[in-house]
Amino acid sequence: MTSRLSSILGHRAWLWACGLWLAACLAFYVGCYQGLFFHQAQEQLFLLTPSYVATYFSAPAWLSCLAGDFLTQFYYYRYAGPLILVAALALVALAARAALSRLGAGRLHALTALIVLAESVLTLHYATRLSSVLSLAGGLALFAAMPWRGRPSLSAAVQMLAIPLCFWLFGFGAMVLAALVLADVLMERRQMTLRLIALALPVACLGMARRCYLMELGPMLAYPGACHLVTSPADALTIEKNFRVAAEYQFGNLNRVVRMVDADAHHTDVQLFYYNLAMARRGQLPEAVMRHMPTFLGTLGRIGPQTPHFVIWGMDELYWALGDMTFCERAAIMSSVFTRSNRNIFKVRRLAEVNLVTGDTLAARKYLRLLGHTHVAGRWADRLLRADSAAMRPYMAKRQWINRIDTLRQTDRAHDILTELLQSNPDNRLALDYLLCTDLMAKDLRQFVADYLRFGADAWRGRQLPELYQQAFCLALSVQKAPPSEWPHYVSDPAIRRRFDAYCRERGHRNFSDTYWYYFDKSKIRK
Amino acid sequence: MVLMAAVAAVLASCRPRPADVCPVDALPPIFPDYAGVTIPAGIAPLNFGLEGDTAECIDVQLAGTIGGCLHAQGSTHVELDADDWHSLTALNAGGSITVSVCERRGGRWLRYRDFAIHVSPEPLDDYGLVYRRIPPGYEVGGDLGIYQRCLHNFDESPLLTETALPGRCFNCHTANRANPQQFTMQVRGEGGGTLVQTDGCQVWYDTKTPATRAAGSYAYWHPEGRYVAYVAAAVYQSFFVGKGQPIEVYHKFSNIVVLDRQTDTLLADSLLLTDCLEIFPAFSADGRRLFFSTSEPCNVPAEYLKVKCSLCAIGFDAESGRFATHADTLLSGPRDDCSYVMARPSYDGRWLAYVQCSRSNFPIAQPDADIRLMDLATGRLHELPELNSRHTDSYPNWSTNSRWMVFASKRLDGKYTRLFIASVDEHGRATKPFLLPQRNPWKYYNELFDAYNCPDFISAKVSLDVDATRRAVESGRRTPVNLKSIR
Repeated sequence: MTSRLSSILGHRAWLWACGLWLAACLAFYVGCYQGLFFHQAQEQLFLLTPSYVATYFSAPAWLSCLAGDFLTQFYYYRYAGPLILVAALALVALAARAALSRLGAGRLHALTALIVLAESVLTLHYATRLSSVLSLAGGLALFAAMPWRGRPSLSAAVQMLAIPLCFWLFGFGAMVLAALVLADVLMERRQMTLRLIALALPVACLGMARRCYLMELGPMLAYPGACHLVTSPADALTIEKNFRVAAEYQFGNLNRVVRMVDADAHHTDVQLFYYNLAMARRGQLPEAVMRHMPTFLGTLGRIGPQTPHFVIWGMDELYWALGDMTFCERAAIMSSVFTRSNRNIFKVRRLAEVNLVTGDTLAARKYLRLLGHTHVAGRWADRLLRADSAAMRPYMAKRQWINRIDTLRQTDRAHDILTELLQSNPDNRLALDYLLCTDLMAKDLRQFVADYLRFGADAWRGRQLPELYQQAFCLALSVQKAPPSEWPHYVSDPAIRRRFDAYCRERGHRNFSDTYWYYFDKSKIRK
Repeated sequence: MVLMAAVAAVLASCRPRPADVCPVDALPPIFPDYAGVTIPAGIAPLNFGLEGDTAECIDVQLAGTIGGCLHAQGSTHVELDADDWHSLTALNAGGSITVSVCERRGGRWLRYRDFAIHVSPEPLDDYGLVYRRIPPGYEVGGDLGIYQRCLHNFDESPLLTETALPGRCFNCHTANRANPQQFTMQVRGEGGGTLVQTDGCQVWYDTKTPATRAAGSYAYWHPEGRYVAYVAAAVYQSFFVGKGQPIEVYHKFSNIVVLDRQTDTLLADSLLLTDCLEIFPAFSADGRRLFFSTSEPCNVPAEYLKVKCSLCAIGFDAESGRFATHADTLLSGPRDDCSYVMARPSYDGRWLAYVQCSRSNFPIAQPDADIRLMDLATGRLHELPELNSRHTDSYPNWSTNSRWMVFASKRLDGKYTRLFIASVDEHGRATKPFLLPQRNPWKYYNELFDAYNCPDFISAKVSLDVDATRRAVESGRRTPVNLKSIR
């Protein structure tokens, strides 16, 4: 055993190289790729119950999927994801080296390095699950563990059994195993016919598993996802930015969201969506909405099956913050369905929260009982199931902001939703800022003035309007040719008035690119 | 090994029979609520646990009024031995089983009031149920699937799941009077079509024509198997604001067409293809009438409160494939200010089950939807208070002997439909329904994220060739249908 292990570990140089590469991976994951781990942690609802565990047998690769999903739930904790994934890659490295050494392959180190390198690259894709890495390791390890050399007939018998077993345990790992067996057959060249038949038969039989697993052949043989390759590093980093900003927001790190976006030169819609939401929760949406242009509020589009996944992903956060529980539930359900297993732990948590706020106790308890079996949300759910008053407090407080109009909504225009929220609760400042900013970003000045007069006049009575709104009023009042006496009611800052006069003389000049006037004249509306 | 040792330890800790029991003057808080339900002999064991899954130990003694007894213990729930249970229910058909539940809490045994489970003299010989399970998604489907479940044990197997046909939606698996050899199903999405399978032979139709504007759904078979009635409809949904009902589902148009399988013709009778919204067809047991619901067209969703469906019947001659010249209104929705939908005649021709709700032609989204019964001989209506709940109760369907009804109800949590089964006697009285049994119901239903819909009995296991289905969907080859306008 010791000699076998030492032969696997082999040269110290190889160990060093491998260790350095894994350390580099760890550093990269920690420094640049944390968002992906948090995203993957959410993409499941792993329940530690026998009946849930039993569901893993309804698909190939139950062992790697079970182990992978079990470990993935710990990705929720900062640094746990990188450590687990690097450990899995180390497992791949060891198994690859053991398998290749078994094969007697030349250029052993180079081939092992290639496998580890390739797998490391694949992990950059957000759809590459930990179970995929474990499936590869499983296929390699099983090959290494098989008794072979010198006994071709025994090898034939073993491979007949090993390939289906490997498929059952490790899914596409069986294809890796089959490839290695084929290589071994071709290299050994003894009783080739027998061994090739013994290889072809179980591989062909795997096709029949389709009936058992009710899957298409390609996805079944590649289960749980053999090869998701990042096509463009820039795209991967963009997606990572989205994951990271979403994660920080969900952790409640609003300052970090703001810092992260302010420090970035190239913003994504998702980043700006969370940025605006974070600033709105601080009561600073009017100050922030035009800071990074073109901005993205998320209120100019509509929720539906065609809405991009990343947008839907965050919609429940927006409507949760605004207080519209119907749309929050709808968005949470939709993003949960768009999740790989249709079960997203954070969205299920949101569903529980929505029902706690609306007072639908039966439904809330349904979700809480589910979450009670999870590692991450279990304690939180248990407290709420016990109706712990401290745990319930934020939801009771939230209840005052919900929409109290009880009617069938005939559109899903955010403007209508925001209006309804303000009709129910005129003090809903977040909804008011979103309403006015939505009007402005849609360049609908008439609607802006109407909405301000309807909902905003009281909110700012006796106080100066935010600069953005004053700038908008400059435009609106000048379009309306309002008498000079009316201007100070809305544009109380003389500097803004003076700057507007200057803008009117140099309309569209880049010196005014930070103003609403410039946006109104020069920019396209983002939906 | 550790798990097995833990299980063994728990079981061992549970073994002692209750002693020094303290009586509790209340029914045990069991889940599912099986107290007073009526079951058929041979049903899967009615395992149950105490609500909350927190009991230290449960001890259950079952004694038949005719004979036999059964004892079971469990830590969080009791699993009854299937053979003993089947023997006990068979022996007590027409009688009752008295259930005594003791719970150990804090080292003390509590004994709750006994309750009875009635065993109907009427058998339920069907193999099981077919239903669709779908994760909640409103406008998107997710990993839905059509499953079949044996009623005499806990075996559930998928007929077709989304993994077999990625990206497609399939619905309304409808058998002809629970016959597994004759069923129809609709696949939507890329390569979608209407499947009609008889004796293992699949025929795929494109039931969408310019005149019908939509493919067939909400199907129902003529008892002779030659005709299948479908609804061609456009379904939409809008979301409510506020705390109440989440969505309203409505149809912009809806008409009924009948597929004649012998001639591959869609029969479009002008009485069923009107500006009104005809929906939920169902042939009578003798095949000489077609029940359906209809509502006046209105501007939905704005006028969603005006959707009031009447329950109608129109004569049908299977020989000629022609409908009568007029339809009778059995129950008028506008007159009664409610909606009558989802007619389901019993196969013995005695009863007509239907769903009544305050409005709408899609009752599963209506919290006040309840199942009712009409005596087709006398026209007398039965409200079935024992069967209904304050939440949505819908999708009724009959067993082949017309003595049992399966339906979908949201009574457990108000959100997710679950399947319940009740018996209906010769006087039109329903019994308290029981939740579809599971090995560990508390765990199963709490962990299940899917909702059930379209449940129906099947007399034997359904066989569907998934490969052939996939090939047919991917090929897109469809048997063309001719539209034949009548009148």
